[in-house]
Amino acid sequence: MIIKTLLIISLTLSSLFALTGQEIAQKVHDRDDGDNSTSKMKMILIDKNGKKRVRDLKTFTKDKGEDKLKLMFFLTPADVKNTGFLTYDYEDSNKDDDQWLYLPELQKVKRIASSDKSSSFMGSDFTYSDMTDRNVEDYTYKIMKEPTIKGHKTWQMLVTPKSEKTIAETGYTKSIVFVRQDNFVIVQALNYIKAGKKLKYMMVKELKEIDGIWTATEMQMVTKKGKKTLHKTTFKFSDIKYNQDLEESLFTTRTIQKGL
Amino acid sequence: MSVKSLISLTLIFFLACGNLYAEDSLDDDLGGFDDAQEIIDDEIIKAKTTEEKSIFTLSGDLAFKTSVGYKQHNIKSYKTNSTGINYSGINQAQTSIYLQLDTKLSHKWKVRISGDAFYDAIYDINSKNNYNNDTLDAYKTQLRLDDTYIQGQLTHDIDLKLGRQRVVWGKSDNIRITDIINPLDNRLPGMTDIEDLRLSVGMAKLDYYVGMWNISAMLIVENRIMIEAAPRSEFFPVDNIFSVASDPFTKLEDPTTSWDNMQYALAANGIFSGWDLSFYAADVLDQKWYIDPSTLTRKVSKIKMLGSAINIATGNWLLKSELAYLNGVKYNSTTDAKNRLDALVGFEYMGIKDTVLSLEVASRHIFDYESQMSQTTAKPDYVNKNELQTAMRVSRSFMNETINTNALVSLFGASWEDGGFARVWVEYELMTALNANFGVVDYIDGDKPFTKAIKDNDRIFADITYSF
Repeated sequence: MIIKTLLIISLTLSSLFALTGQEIAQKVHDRDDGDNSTSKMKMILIDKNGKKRVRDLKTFTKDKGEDKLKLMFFLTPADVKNTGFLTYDYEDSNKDDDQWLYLPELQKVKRIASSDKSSSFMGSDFTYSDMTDRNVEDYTYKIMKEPTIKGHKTWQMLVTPKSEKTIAETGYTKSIVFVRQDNFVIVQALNYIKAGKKLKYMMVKELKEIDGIWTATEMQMVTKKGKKTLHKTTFKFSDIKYNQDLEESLFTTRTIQKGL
Repeated sequence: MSVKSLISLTLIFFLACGNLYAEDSLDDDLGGFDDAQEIIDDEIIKAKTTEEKSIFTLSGDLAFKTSVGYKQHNIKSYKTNSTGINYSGINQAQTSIYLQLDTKLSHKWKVRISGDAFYDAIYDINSKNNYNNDTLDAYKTQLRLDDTYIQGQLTHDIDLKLGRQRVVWGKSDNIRITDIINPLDNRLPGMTDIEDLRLSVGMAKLDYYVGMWNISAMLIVENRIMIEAAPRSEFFPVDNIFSVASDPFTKLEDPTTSWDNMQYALAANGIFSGWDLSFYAADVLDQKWYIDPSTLTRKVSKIKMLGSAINIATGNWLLKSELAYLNGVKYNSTTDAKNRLDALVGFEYMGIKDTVLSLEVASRHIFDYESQMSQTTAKPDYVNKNELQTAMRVSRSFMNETINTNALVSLFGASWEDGGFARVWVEYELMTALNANFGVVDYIDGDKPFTKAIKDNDRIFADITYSF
């Protein structure tokens, strides 16, 4: 009888303290992802025939209140070297991000106007929406299971956009994400693409704690149609440094024009 | 069992099957994680990012270009040449090299020296054609100094750039309204890639950054002018264009470089959240030549320009507008210089995945217009009081930007009656840093002698470029 009572109490308490999908999503969003960071990024693009293309980039990020400033420079290959990309990623979902691209061949800073973020990010399988934080309020969340992935317990959640506008912007009709329970990092995600019945599999291949911040140092996105792999991209990060002395003036069109 | 129960049971059965199917389908989808695993070559991942430690960086392109004219047409290469040269068939076999040396002198200062050279073998292959010297000078070989400058930071807010450089004004991509600082390479109209279109000029450029604004002042010491198609070449059959002139105006004179002829320019560029605004003032060489009545040669005069340009980003739309008031524009058929108001409106739409659509429409209004400016005279201009130009462009990438397709149409006239060109091309990334390009350009016939004269220059073209 005592055991039964304890079990009921424990189950009741655990259900009372269990996080909802929304709360998990908020914790993922609020997780410390570092500030004033610099890193090198290797982008490996592999087509269905195994042909590889490699790009190297240098990235800088800085938080400005709730907004995020990002700066990227292509280092290789030679035909895109010194191409610069500057983004002001606003937390307010009603405000469009500011984006500028510097094309060294044209010597011109070009503003990019695209609230539609479903296009490929620099030819990769990641889209511009994959590269920016999703707004928690734009989705509903349903915890499906609690599977273990690579020895870590996760929440498997169905994430569904609340509006057609969000679907149009991201290109995804729904996603199934796997959030590690110990650190609130999304380690896997299956994204359902609106057009073409394609699926995108995101996997964090390597996760490291750098300066106390859980950081994906290698991640992969695979685009599939049925069982067939269409294309895949690996991002490999190195020389990741947080809390660097980055001035806000670095994140301006002046910098992308002048180059590294 | 009642009918009602039967229906209920059937419904429950189908719902259960549907649920089972959904779970199977989800499991299938999630199973994709297992076979999506990919082991990337360690060599690729470990390969060092080539952020050069050396203070010198040499880069460049090696390219081969060819084109085939598919319409039979002959151009007189000399005044006395009656049949002319047949430009159909293979009309380009150009090998080119571009070299760029970058040196980082310090954290704040760097130097760039760049140049290019080409040799077009077609002029030796077709040596039996009696090409004139102007044509051979313009198209057979080239050795040129391009961007060559020292650039650095004088103070936290001030940058200085000294040397041959390109300065891009305005927001439009296909029609130039306020973009008047650098002369253009017009040798192959409709064919020159936009990155090769502007010619570097020697200047001192000082940039001051204050808040959201950048104030840019330029002192242009090099009086470099446009490179035009050679007279009596495929793109400038002067005998057709200046049919009434006793001797067509083949000579294009370079202006002298002197203190009196110095060019000046000032720009203020504001960058704000969701929009950009620029103001421009310039006292520079015109982008077009005129026929000097005293020498009967083609010359380029100085003009004064006041202009403005704006970009507004809203959703997937980038709206753009430019305005330029030009003072002192010289024409062939008038004795006095004219003032002109150039205006442009346009947009880019990026709401379709991996696609950019753009449309730009420009109007050029000549003040104190004289009727002979549109007529065929000994020194004709062939311009109307109001000239309209439309440019439409569609770009779309496929296969993760392995293939980029583009279509550009540029037409003159309110109802496109003055002709123009249409160009469609496909860029294919064969492998990292090796790109092939294939396309077709159609020169559209129109009422203007300039477009009529090149209407048969249609061609298919291909090139392959290795970047290092």
